[in-house]
Amino acid sequence: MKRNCILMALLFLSAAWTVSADEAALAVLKRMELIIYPDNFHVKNALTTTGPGKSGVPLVFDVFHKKDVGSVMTILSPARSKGIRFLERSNGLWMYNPKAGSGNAIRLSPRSSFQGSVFSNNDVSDPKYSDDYDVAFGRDETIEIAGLGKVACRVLECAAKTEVSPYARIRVWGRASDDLPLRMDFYARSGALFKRMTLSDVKHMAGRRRPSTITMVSLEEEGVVSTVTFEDMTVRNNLPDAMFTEAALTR
Amino acid sequence: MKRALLLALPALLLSAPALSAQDFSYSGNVRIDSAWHHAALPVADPALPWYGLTDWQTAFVLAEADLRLTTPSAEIRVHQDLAFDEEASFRYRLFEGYASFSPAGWFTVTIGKRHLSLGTSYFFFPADRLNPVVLDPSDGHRDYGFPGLTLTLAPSADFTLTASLSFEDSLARLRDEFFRDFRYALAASLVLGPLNLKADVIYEIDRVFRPGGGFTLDLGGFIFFGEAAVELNNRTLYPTSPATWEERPLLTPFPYFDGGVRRNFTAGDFTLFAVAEYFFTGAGFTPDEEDRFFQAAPLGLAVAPEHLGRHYALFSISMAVENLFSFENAGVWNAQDGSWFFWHKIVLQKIENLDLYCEVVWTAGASETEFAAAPERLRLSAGAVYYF
Repeated sequence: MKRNCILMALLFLSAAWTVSADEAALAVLKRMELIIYPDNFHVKNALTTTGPGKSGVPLVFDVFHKKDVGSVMTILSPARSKGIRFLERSNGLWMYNPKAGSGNAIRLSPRSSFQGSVFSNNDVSDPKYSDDYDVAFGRDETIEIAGLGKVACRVLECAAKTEVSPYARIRVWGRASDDLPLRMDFYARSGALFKRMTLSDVKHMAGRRRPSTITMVSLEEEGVVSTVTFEDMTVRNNLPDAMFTEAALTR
Repeated sequence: MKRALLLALPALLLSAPALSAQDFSYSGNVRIDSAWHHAALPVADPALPWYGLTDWQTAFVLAEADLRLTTPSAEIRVHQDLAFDEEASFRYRLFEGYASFSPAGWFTVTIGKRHLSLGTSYFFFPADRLNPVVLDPSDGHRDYGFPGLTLTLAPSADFTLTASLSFEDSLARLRDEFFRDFRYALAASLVLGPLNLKADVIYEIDRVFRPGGGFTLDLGGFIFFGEAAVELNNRTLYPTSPATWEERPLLTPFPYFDGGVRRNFTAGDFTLFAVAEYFFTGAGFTPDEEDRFFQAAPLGLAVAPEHLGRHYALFSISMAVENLFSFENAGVWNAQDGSWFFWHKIVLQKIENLDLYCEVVWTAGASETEFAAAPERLRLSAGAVYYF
């Protein structure tokens, strides 16, 4: 009886420790995400994809994001794509192209590639993963980062909560001293590692120091790399919900 | 032309207070197009320049501009084009020209000519009887706005309520009792996770009374959509005998429904977009009535319903390689009479901001069928579009 009680207590403590560790890991991921983006923001991005057969023409677009509501993106250049808008909401994605002659938006899949880049529509429109993934601490590692040298990192292991999540698994490296996010590896449902993101060029933007360049390397297509540079970022806490509706998208 | 300018005027005048706007944006293009047309029989309409011909050429230069002036609480938009053709004539089109104000974030009022996104389908929109249907076969499908007033309430991002008043028919008829030609619309949109629901009702005294609704649902990347409506004020004349045509009593229900699926496939730079859609229109003619329609022509031309038959399908498949080319194909099938309307377009996009295209539009079917009844059976065009 006494032995059973000890076992039960150990099991309980172990479960409690696991829950608390997972909560701590989730808190770290949220902290890292807040370093990349504030909760509510406007940012102007320049996206360039290089590699065999790629034009390398920069795509400039702006993004308005509101926490727990969604994102609206508008392409500003090149002229051929100018004015195309995307709305990301509650696992749904809509595209409105005023040049198509139709006044209606078309619903798209969030997993598809964003404008031929290595980024998916979801990477660009809903850049936070903490809502859709279970998070746990992995083993700490020291990795080589260009410009920073060898950096001691905390590693987070993120597993998709549902089938609709865009990736089955994500591994996240953040600098141990301040949780500055440095690298993310993205895994498909097959278990294969197929994209690697690095974050660099830390600058003061929207009230704190943040990475201003995100590079996504395709491990499926040799030599294909997409780079997003934040040209401007501001905290926007007063964005109305009405901005994130189909009615506003097709205006 | 004058009417279009008159419609644009309110939007242009309302733009004056926004001169201190924070953001002005524009996009547009200049297009040059040359086409060869082929008809099954010599063109019978003496009013047309190609009267008596079975083959002829056309050409035009077109400039399109979409201008926006935006402040934190207001927006002015004018979307228009101007074409100059081989007959040395100009054509001006105003697609949209409006001013919108948002005194509160959740409330917006729009005045002017605006297209409102109703329905959830891809090609056929049975729940939409508000936006005007303008057929311009020389320039593909274009959506025009209706002149009027729209109030939009968005208490949350998941729910939107829109009320509209259209002056389209009042301006077209210009009679004393102009208010009897107002068209009213009330529409709601709700997002529930992967499910998007829409409902609306459109009403105009003795002309339109159409409640309807639709949905879209994302299931593993396949986007399923459906839409249904019932028309209760249908004023189409139906042939009851070879010589007599009659309207059905008011409030006779004419059902419409539509459903389909579309999917985007992406692999690197390559994108494939496929759509299949079925449409049933209860207001279309039955096979007997369609036969009588062709026997009664030209009388029949004035009384045709919105869609001549009852069963339609759309098939579309497009592919593109980013910044290299796109190849779009679509076919609309009147399943009742077996006629087809096909459209194919290949666009080379290798040069930055310049498209070079070749387009083929053709119809197939027996002579007394919906799509093959028009004399023109084939149009081949080529052109260039420069974007700015």
